[in-house]
Formats: sequence, structure tokens, C-alpha cells
Amino acid sequence: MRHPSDEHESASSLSRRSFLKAATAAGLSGMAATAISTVLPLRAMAADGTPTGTLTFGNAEPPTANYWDPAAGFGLVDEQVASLVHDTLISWDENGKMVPSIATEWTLKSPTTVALTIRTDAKFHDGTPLTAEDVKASIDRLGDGKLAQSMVATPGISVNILSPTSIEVVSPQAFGVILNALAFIKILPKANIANPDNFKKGALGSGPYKFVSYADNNVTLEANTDYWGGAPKIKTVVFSYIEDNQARINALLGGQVDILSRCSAEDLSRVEGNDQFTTTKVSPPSQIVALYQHNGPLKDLKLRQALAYAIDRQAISDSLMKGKNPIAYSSLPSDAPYYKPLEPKFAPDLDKAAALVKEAYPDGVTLRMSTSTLVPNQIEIDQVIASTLQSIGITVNVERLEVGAFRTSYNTYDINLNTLASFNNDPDFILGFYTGGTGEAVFHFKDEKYDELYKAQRAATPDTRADAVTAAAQYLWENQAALYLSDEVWYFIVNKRVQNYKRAPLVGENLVPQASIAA
Amino acid sequence: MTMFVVRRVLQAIVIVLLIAVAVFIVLRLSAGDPAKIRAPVFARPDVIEQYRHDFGTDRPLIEQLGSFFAGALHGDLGQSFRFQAPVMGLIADALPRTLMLAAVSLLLSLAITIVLGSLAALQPRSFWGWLSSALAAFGQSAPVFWSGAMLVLFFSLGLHWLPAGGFNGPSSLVLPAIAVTLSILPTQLRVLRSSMEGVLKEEYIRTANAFGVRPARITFVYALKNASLPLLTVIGVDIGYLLGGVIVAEVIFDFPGIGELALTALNARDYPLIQGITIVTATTFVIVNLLIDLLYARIDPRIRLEQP
Repeated sequence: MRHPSDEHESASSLSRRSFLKAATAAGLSGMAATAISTVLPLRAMAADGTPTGTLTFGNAEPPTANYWDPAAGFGLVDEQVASLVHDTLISWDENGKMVPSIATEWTLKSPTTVALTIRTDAKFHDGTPLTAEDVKASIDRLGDGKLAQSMVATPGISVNILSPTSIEVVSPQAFGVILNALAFIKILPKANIANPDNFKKGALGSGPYKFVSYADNNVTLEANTDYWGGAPKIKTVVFSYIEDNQARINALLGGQVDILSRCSAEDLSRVEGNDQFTTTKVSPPSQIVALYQHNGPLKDLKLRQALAYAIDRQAISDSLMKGKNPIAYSSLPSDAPYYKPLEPKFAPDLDKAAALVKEAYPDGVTLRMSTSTLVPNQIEIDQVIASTLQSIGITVNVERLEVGAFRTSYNTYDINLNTLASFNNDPDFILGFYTGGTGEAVFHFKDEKYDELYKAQRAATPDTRADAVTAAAQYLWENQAALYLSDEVWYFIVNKRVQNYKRAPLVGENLVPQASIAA
Repeated sequence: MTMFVVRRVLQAIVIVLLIAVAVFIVLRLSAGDPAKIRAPVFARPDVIEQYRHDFGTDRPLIEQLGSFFAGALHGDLGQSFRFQAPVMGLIADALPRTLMLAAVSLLLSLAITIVLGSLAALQPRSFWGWLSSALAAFGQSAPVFWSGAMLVLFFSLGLHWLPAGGFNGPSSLVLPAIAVTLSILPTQLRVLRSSMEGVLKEEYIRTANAFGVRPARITFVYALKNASLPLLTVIGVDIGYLLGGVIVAEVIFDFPGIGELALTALNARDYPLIQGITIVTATTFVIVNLLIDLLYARIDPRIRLEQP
């Protein structure tokens, strides 16, 4: 469902529901449907002439690490870089429609099998051709379940090479969103996968941009003029990490940065009425802001529920986020496909919260909280949360961390504010954070009943999927596996000198090759 | 003189060593495990243990201290946990920028102080006297975070004359330098003005006037030389402040200097980088102070450096 405010925002905004419709049309629900596309690759239309100019993004976070394995990271910058340096088998266009990429055509043969034809003209940036062996190595390793992004695949997923241009991706279990996974998994050189030390040298892919360097908090990419889809229009793309919020918005207003990502309500107010800028957003936003985890004292359900009753989510959204982020009553964002407001509402009730704390920990309890400037208004929100929890008898020790350190250490604390950004357009992605190795690693959450519910929604048919998703979300909500604060819509402010900038409904920037910089 | 220098150099070495040990111990006593902070979120306990091993934080404290000093003697201050790069390289990138910012700010503030402070001392009730007092009061009451923000608003966002942040050549130095100058100017201005007022009442100044020496020569050559001794002390302190990285200014202007690097290192619990920055800035500060002591003797021959 589109927000009323969408009308004056970029046309690239796309609602989660309409996206789902598009995805469904592309083959998600039609298991027997054949999605043989005759559409030319999107990027081929974008490329013409010599790339010129520099596009600079101002981000509030650095890459997760100086280790360029796209399957090892989950940050915004990790995915921005990966989406330009690497290709996927299937890509998305600005309308949320799946389009060919390395795969020129595909057929969903069953809930577990996709047959694909792969192109022969793709080359990695070092000149070696991209082959079916590279595709197999890139997908099979996610089936091993040891990587951070294994959650987007199924355990045991693998590729059968039928010929140099013909492959089958096979999941051992029913995998309703298998095409979404193939539109996300990056194809890497088999040689790099065999020797992960190569990931320390930089990112090597076959995408429209080549990795140049990571220095002085800037990741620099340069146009791949030999790209199979044609050269992109912009020569250089820089992802610049500016930690201080004021410095970041000043850099945008002063012209040092062209696009500001993850803007706060205050940032948006700074460009209101300024015709030099446009505002766009990642929609479906797919972000939830969560308080988690079940280390130590938070193992107790009563304490987690006490937190839910104590924190006035609506008040935080209205005041600090100036109403820009809607409140959901579920473990899913409010405009997620299959979203349904759930019971109980956990309406703010400090007395009830204090009683629950007393019941769980009569002698009092202390929580360690880390904070940073990663999430817009994070420090202010954390102050409100900490003081609220103090008022119901919970001692909160807050540690301020640099964003990079925060991102790699959040699960070593008891509680903090964070965002689960969906890299995928389906609720499966958010629900996947609470299951298997990912659930244990992220939230220290392991629950066999939930694992069953999660598997059931993956295996569900289009007719039963809504109920299956709701059942999984309900379980998380009742158990307060995470305290859902609000949908954190990712607003981007774009300088008008950047022309034709669009966002696919994903975290990455796979449509940047179409954009250009005005002279 | 030679003995004085040797003694002070030895003193300096001891001071830097003590600072290094103190920082080393305090960091290890503070909260936060660098291995847990740097390891991927998905890391298993054995991976975190591997990080501890790689960082060397699984070894006894005394052993860590020993290898730190052994490396430092060879110019190796270790590997940054946060940036996964040699500490010396990171400091070598950031320090020149901070030195540039410090030098420009110091020169700007000294130029204003010498001209305005001297004129104000000569004619306290004139426009120069009023301007000197007003500037000192303004500088003292306007913190860097406010003056920096105002400068950005006016010159970058309003007039689009200068960049709002980052470091892309000399133009990036202008606004941070003005903000920093405003913060160090008041003390320099007040000290020189009052010192100059005292010196101008000395008999040798009256004699020079009687001999018909030009007023400008009397003020800027004879009087200024003697009046500048207290200013020299202030400059020593200011240099320490500037070399520590003018953290607030660097953060506001997203200026990639040593201050911003230090803040990042602190918030990332990056022990080697914090240690490296502390040692380098402490060493520089000690050297600057030694030079200032030597300069005292140069300016005022009555000052004897040899101690009884």
C-alpha cells in the first residue's frame, strides 16, 4: 500500500504489495509458469558512450570489513558495493519485475527446481569468462549453511550443470521464493571461493562497476566499459562514510555528496522546499527496528514482555521520527506482504511492565546496551528507551560505539536498536533472521517450534502462504523475539544533478548504471 | 645548553614511555572485548578466539606490553583492529592534515594577535582596543561546534564559496582553520595585550621614544620581543591542543585528521590505534615544548637553561 506522501516522491518508490504482485507475475506463484524473457538486459539500454562524472553517496556506515565476500556481510554498503560489482542470475527492474541478467531465461519447473540458461559473454573484471562452474560454486556454498547469507537459500541447495549454458538449481525442500534467492545471490569467480584470502584484496565480480579501492572511509568503484550489458553512464561511484549526521547533511547541501542514504526526519526537513533535491525511499521499506536479544537476563519471556509494555513506540515515532516511520503490530513491517496486525497490542503500561520485571527479577536486573549513529536518531531513541527502562526497575548500562564497531558487535550486548533490512522482497527474509544458524548468531534465538513454522511458510502454496506467514510472525510477536519498534523507512535525498536515479526495491544499487550526472 | 637538551630529551623519553604504559593498562581495564567487536556477528566462539589470538589479546598483559614496545622500537605500532591496516600508515595519512590545520590556525591566530594585541596595548581606548576585547569575548563564548556550524551555514550552504567538509585541497582548510582560530585566539590576544601593556611602560621603551626611534619599530621590534615570552607559553599549550586533533572541529567538518581518527579508534575500542595516536601526539607535544624552552633562551638571554 502506498503512503499518501508517495505522490510527491520519486516514481521509483514501490510498495511491497505491488512488488509482490510483480514478483508473483514473474513466476513466484505460478510454479509451472515459464518465465522465458525476450526483454533485453536492462543495463544494455542504459549504456551508451563513454562513462563520465562521479556519483558520491553519503552513508552513515562503513563496509562491514575490508573483506569483500558478498555472502559474508549484511550492511547497506556491503550490498551497495556488491550489487554493482557482481552480477546475479536474475535482476530486478525499477517496477519490481524480474529481468534477465546472467541467466537469459529461466523456467520454474517445480517448487524445488529452476532451469536456467546462462549467457556466454559475461567476464569477470580480471578478464576470465564467467562460466556455469562459477555459478555452481557461488550457489552451492550457500547450501552449506556456514555463511551469513545462507539464510537466503535452503540447506543443501545446489546447482546441476547440464551443459556450459544450461543449469538447474535444486533445493532439497520446497522453496517458494527460490527465484528471489537467485535474484540476490552474487556470482563470484570459483577461484576466489576456493581461496577466500582473495576476498581481502578487494571485490572481483563481473558487474557494471569494478572495485578500485577502500581508503579514507571511501569505497571507490569505476565503470566497467567492457560490461556485457554495455558501459554504465557514470564513470566513478564513491560510497563515502561520514559518521556525524550534521557533517553528512552538510556535505549533501554543500555539494560534496550527491545522494544521502538513510535520512532522518530532520534531514528531510532540511531539504523541504529546496528544488535542488528530490526524495526517494526504498519501498517496500523492508526495515524493522528491533530491540533484541536473548543473552543473559532477556532469556526470560516476562522481561521481554515488560520491555514491550514499557516502551511507547508511537510516542517515539511521533516525536523523534516526526511520524515518518509507521508502527507495526507484528514482527513484520506494516506494509510487508501478508502483514496483519496481531494481538496482544502491548499497549504502553508502565505499571504492568514494572510488575513483570519484579516478577522475573525481584532483586533487579541490569542490561548492557550499545549505541551508535547507525540508525537515524539512534542516540536519542536509545536515551528514551534507557530512561524508560530505568523507570520500571531495569538498570541500563549504555556504551557508545563507532558505527563499524557497533555493526560487528551488537549481539555481544543484551539490548540495542538495530535494523533488519530486507535484501529480498518477501517476508521470508525477515522471518529467516530468527531461524537456524542465522537466528542463533543474530539473536541467540533457537526455537524448534518456530523453525517448523518458518519451514511451513517456505513450503506453503500461494493459497496457504498468508496464513503460514502470519502463524510464524504471531509466534515471534507473542514471544517478543525482538521488540519491533517501527518500520524504518529508508529515505534517500538525491541532488538533481543525478539524473534518472532509480531504486529497485532492494537494499543495493543495481539500477545506478542507468543514472547519469548532469554536466 | 647541551646538558640541558640531553637532560630534557631523556626526560621526554621517560614521559612518553610512562604515557604509553598508562594508556596500555587503562585501555585493557576498560570495557569491551576488541575480538568480539571486530569478529563478524555470525562468528562462532572458536572464530572469536581466533580473533583474540590474531590481535594478541589472549596473551598475558606483560607479554602484550613487551611485544608492543619491541614493535614500537622498530617503528611498528601494530595493526589497527578497526581498519585492518598498519597503525603507522593510518597516522601518517591523518597527521599531516592535522598538522596543516594546526599550522594554518596557529599562524592565523598569531597574525591577528600580534597586530591587534599590539595596537590595542598601544591605544587601549581606541577602536583597536574595543575590537580586541570584542573578538576575545566572542571567541571565548562561541564554542567550536557552534562557530563551525555557523561558518558552514554561511559560507558553504549559503554562499557556496567553500566546501562544508572533507579534505579536497587547501580550500577544505579554510573553514576549520577559522573555527579553530576563533577558539585559540582569545587567550593569545589577552596574554599578549596585557604583557605588551606592561612592557610599553618599561624605561627602555621611554628611552627609545626619547631617542626618536620610530613608534612602529619600538612596538613591533623592541616591545614585542619581550612581551612575547608569556605568549610563547600559551602557544606551547595551544600546540598540544591542536596536535591532539581539534576533535570537535574535525568531526563537524568531517576533516580526516588525527582527532577524528582518535575518536573513531576510541569508539571502536581499537587499542593499537589509540596507543599509536597517543604516543605520536605525546612525542610531538614533548618535542614542541622542548623547542619552546629553547626559544625562551633565544628570545631572552637572561634565561639560563643550565640548571644549578
